[in-house]
Amino acid sequence: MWTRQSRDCFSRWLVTLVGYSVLLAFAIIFVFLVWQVWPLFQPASISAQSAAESSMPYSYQVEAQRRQSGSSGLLWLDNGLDERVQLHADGRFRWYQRLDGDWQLSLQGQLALSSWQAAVLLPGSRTLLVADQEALVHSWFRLHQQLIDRPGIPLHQSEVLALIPLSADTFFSLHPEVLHWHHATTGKRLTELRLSDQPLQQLQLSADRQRMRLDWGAGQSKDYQLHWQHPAVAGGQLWSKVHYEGRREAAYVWQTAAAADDSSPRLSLVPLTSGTLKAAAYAMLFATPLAILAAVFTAFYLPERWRHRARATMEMLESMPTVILGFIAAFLLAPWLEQQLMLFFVLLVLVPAVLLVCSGLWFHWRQRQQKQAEQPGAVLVLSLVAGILTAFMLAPVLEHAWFDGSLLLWLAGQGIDYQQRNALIIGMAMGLAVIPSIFSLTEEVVFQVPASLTQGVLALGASRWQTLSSMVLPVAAPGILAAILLGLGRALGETMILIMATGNTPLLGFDPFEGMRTLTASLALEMPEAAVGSSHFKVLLLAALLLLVLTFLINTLVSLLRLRIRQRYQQL
Amino acid sequence: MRQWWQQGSPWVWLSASALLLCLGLFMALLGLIAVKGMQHFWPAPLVQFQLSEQGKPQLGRLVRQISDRSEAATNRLWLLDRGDGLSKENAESPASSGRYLLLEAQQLLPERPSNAVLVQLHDGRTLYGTMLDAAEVWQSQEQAETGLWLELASQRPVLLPAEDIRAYWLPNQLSLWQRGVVFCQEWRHFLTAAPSQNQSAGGIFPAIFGTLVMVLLMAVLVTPFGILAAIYLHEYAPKNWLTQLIRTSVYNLAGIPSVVMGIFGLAFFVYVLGGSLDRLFYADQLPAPTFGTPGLFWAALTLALLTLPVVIVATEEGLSRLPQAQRLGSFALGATQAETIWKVVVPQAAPAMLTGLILAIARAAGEVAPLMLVGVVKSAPQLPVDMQFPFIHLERKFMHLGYHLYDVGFQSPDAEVAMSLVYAIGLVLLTLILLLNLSAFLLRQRLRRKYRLID
Repeated sequence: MWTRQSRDCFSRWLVTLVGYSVLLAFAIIFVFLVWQVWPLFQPASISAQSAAESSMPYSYQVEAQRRQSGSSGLLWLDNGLDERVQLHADGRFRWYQRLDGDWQLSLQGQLALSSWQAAVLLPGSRTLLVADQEALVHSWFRLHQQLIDRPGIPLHQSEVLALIPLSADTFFSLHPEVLHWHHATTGKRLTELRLSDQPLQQLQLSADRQRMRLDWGAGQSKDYQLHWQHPAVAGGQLWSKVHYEGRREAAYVWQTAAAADDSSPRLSLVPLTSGTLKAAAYAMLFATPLAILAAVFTAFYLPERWRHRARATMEMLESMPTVILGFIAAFLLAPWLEQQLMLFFVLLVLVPAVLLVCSGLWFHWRQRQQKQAEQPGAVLVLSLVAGILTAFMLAPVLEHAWFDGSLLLWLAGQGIDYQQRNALIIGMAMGLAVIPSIFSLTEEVVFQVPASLTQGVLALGASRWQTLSSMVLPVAAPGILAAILLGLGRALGETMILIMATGNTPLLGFDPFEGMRTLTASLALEMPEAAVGSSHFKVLLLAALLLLVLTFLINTLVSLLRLRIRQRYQQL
Repeated sequence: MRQWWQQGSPWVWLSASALLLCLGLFMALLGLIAVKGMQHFWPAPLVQFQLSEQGKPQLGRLVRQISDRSEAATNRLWLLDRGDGLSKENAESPASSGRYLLLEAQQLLPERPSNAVLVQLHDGRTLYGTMLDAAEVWQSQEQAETGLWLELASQRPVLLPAEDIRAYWLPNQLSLWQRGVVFCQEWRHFLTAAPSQNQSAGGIFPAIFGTLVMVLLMAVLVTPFGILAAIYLHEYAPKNWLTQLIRTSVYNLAGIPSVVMGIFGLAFFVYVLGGSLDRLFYADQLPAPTFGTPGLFWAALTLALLTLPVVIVATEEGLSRLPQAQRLGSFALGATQAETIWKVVVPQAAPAMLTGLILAIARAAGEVAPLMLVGVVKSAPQLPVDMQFPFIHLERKFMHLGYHLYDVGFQSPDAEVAMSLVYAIGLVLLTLILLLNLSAFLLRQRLRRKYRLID
């Protein structure tokens, strides 16, 4: 039965199947994430439903609201929990708050408008919405003893029959013949529902606020299903500044464990993305020059035996667990840097300076001796050590002379906040994690530059460095770019160092003395706690997808560049 | 001057020192972890300190020197560890409770009593005290029990029953050889015992064991898959766009951030696949999840996906180094392609596959971020492998070295105890990974030399 041919055939099929399944695995990861994230971007919608026998506990009388405000000029609004507002026709209001069971006046005054058509207090929140005569819904919320103004929400029709609250961040505006659904926090119009020209009597909502019943009186009613799964991102909060209730101004906010008085999480990916970019930028700033210079030297100057050793060591170090680097960064480097910030800066400036001076002296001396000034050897090590020692001795002196003994205090005096776990720490720790990958690839491409080229240039009388800078580096440039991108890809996806040494506060900006919270850290820390299927869960998956796409692009670019450099070398 | 610049001498200097700096930083890092990790077990001498003029001298172990730069002058302070004490009630005053003290230089006494003893209890506590001559105390108490008479800080002598004591030694009178013996014993204990005292003491055996089991399970999952995929790519795949696509996806799979893989593992493997498994086979135990929760199997599967490209790339490299003549020779003898591959190519490329596997294991052993999501816990009550049927429990949560390091370092209430312990864990982890990498490296070197001879 098992003939040689059938065995051959079976083996071919099996192996091919496994080969394809690698592609399949990658596709599944991508498709699964897209599929999970998709509902986030589905617009809210209202669809008609057959009438069901179910109770609708929340009901809003359309006429009553108008009559009340028209006749007595006074409207009582209630958020269903602990806030009440008494609103007069001319815009005067009294705001009550329930404290320990009885209602207390907490705020009163005059709204910045003279007349209004409809008003509502959103359920469970402190936001007051008032529609004026010019198709604009003004939005205020109470913050302690203050009324904070939020940007208004434009309506599409100036005649407003009623504002009907749906949840803490969405509401309906009822116009003649049309019902609009708005996002209260961002002011975006979610969807609309066309109605008949008959005046609507009553609007009822189910307890879970997923279904609604419109009632035109005389037993004529219709049920609708409301589709809105993710109000926390429906208004475009992911990427734009939002003025949330309880804050004084619009901002990018990432706040998942909502405070006691607000119900929905605040999910702006901007601070996290900025954190990721900041961390990667500082790491690259630290790693790129070091790694490329080291790689160029290894490939072009070191003798074969030492080159092998340097390469092997770097390859070994590439597998260093980042959890160890993160621990060292958080517990050793961070306290050290806080103590020795001045020393750090002095080292940064002084060591290259001392090296340059020593190299000049060495060159001069060798020339006087009429010798080639190529391999400095032990002199270099000595001058490096000398530079570091000088920095150690000079730093306290300079700190006393320029900053009254403490750079940290001086920084604080300048209004610069120094956090112990900051971008400089990340730059160094993640820089160390990234160096081996940049080093390996750069070294490879520089070393593989065809020898005929370099020998030709050397034969024309150029020094080794002239050969390198005028010939080798331009030829190998795409490969070096690929190496940098490879390092960038690794820096963007790094997690443990960032969890341990960033402080994990979502902050914007590129301040070197502040920490950050990155996408990866948020993923690792928040994912286990996020409820499956919630907005938070899906937004985290979106963050994962974002990282996946970003690294996908970078890696594709890297393989294209590597392909190109291989072709270039073959041609030469 | 111009010549100096034109000939590129400054750049040579800068690049050479960049290399020195890179290697130096890494070596310093490795050295630091090695030294600090070793120090955790080295029996350091005990010192005496006196909190006030009248106070009785107490025993403690110096942790480190702290320079306090809050004022204009730099103050030197000493951080001192004075052990756990027997129990909270015995502490003489609230001010003296707590394990760590900051001392000024004059509070440290120069002499080191030779009968100072360090006792390690079975429950993970450490005591520093003065050992009393057993016979003397017995006479006064008139009872003979086996145990150790200790005088702890300004208390009456206490008898520690022998069965509570794990080990004790007199650090101030040990010879170098004895210190070495204690050092080795403590290492052995560290590697074979379970954590105690809320992770701040004891050993790390469950973490090592969990890491090994997970990594082996991952190897079982990833090896056949990776090798077959590499064989496909190198031996069968036609040169067309589809193959190019597969190759691209291998490279991109390698570039996916590990935490994203962890997210996929949690959202897809655990919640989707695990949830379905639960509904199909463990419906009677719902809503308590069996496979619908992070566990050993899902962790191994996620890491298998993560390390798949490592195995594929290494295997393919090995396959491509094999001379084409060998394959042609096999075909010429009338062998089918399957026979050529399985009887000629694969046996010769086996070391390359082993290299890939070792690299994959090294990578998996060092990963923490994805594991945090798919099954690692800070303390697992049961090992994933035991004598109960079915012996290997795929659904159990497990401990992992890397995560244990993170957990002890960041969640421990006692940061100073954690410090030296974390270095020790880091040393174990690093040794494991560097050894794996070194063996892969040597294997590959040997392989390359062999093929060079064949060529």
